[in-house]
Amino acid sequence: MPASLEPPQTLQDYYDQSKKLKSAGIVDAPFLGFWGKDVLEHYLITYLLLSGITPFDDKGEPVFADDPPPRTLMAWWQTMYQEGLVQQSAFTDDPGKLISQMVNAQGAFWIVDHYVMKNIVEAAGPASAEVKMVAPVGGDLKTLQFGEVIQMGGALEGEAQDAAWNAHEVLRLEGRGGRVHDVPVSLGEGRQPARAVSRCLRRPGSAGRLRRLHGPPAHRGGVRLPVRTTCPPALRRGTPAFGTTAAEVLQKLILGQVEPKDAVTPARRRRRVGQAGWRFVTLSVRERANRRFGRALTAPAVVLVVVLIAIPAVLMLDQSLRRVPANGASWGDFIGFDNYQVVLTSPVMWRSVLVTVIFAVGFVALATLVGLLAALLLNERFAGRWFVRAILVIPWACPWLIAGILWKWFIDGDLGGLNALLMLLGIIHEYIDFLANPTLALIMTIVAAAWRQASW
Amino acid sequence: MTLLLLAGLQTMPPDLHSAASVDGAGVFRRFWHMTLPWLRPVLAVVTVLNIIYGLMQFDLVFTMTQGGPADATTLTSILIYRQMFVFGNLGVGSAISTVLAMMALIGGLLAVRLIYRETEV
Repeated sequence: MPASLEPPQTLQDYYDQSKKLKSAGIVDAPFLGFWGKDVLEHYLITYLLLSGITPFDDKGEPVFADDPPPRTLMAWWQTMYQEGLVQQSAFTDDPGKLISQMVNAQGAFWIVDHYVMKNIVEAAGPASAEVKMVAPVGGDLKTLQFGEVIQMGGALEGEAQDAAWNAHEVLRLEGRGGRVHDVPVSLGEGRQPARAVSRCLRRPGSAGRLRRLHGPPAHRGGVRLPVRTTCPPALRRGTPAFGTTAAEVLQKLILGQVEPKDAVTPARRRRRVGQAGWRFVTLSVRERANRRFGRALTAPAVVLVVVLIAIPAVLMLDQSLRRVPANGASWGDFIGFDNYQVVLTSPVMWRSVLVTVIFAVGFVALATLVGLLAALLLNERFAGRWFVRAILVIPWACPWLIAGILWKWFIDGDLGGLNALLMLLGIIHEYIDFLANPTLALIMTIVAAAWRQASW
Repeated sequence: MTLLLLAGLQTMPPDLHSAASVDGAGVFRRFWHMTLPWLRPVLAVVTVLNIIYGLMQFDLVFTMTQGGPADATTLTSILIYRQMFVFGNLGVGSAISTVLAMMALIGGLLAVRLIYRETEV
């Protein structure tokens, strides 16, 4: 950045200075935008926060749609992009390229997420004072150029340095396709950030970490970094689907295909977790087509359900109101709710209801507990995981009937495997006929059913 | 449970956990505040289905005990079987079936209510 330019304070400053830099022919696209879909929506939230706007209220409702500032922000994006102050490949560029441009002074500005910012500020090490902070865009949140982020990563020591690097990872500034690890090569000489990077890379831990983050998996199972920072709740809620839909509209907006005032509309409250957020009106046409297609796809299943389930259910309801002869000779006389009276006053019925409820509760609790534990376990990496995952499906592939026979034999009172096992372990001293004892029999059926269902 | 929950776990973005560990959240807090809420939709569906499976269970219990000993494992479904196909009381059996279906409906709805009680995490 030429010395004559003051650090930008507002979006207008960014625009003015970018304009100056461009017209002076110093850089072609002064503002390096990294506006891929996965970060664009993130940036919107960041910009809103930087402008002192709370994007969401406590309940997750978007609260900015009717504010003038978001429209200004979006108009600013449009202008920056359409006047060529942001590189035209902003939607598809990879971060590595941008970092490289940044540190080679092919760009002047890059606003990083305030989350990253906060991490870096909080990581304050001995050399932090040397780092030039670009002034806040609004509110008390500060912003930094990306080059300075790297510089800081180099200037810091130990944990603080790790924290700075970790901040990058959290935001995924070095994403997937972007191979940041070739950047230092082009940085080798000269500039301050470049030196900082190489200094940083000379530190063994950091180098390994950087390679693991960006390069071929040279270092597996490296250092785990201790970091203590805070993530504002608003930034946590982004889900992949949410980000992508929002970003699609934002990209349209930047390209001028949508007007800022039409782009965002508050969502109706949605119940499901992870879907709280906003809704974009421009998607409604496509959404309607989607729903039509969805109905066409479900039609065959609906027909099956009606024929195989709905009609028999109605017939059964009708039958429950009649005295049907056991030989099925006739449809039976209509007797109103007599059958229900018999059923609901019968102790046998209520006993069976009690047994059923005990069975169902025990079954659900046991299956959920075992299933959850197994899922958490199998989500971890360990040798032979694929094998365990594969054999896990066996109980589920086993029909209920077969599972019943299997368990009947397994817990058999004369030659069952369970008895033999318990004897061997010294837990029991004589064979138990589990299915002859009322309590044990119920417990065993619950265990058997949970065994069958836990793997599902 | 395991298969579906595992599928649910794998849709969890890894940065969610790195963000939390950056926050200094330990294993149990991450499980309680992130993993569990993330799995909630899956858990809801699976639990509702399991409640229905549990209430409607017949084959396994019938093969193991035929409802015995001393009716200790006579589920409502086994009662229906007896009434309809052993005693030939088709009307009564149908009435029990309706009651059982209502139980399953209520059980399922209760579970949905409980699980979706909190709308935001």
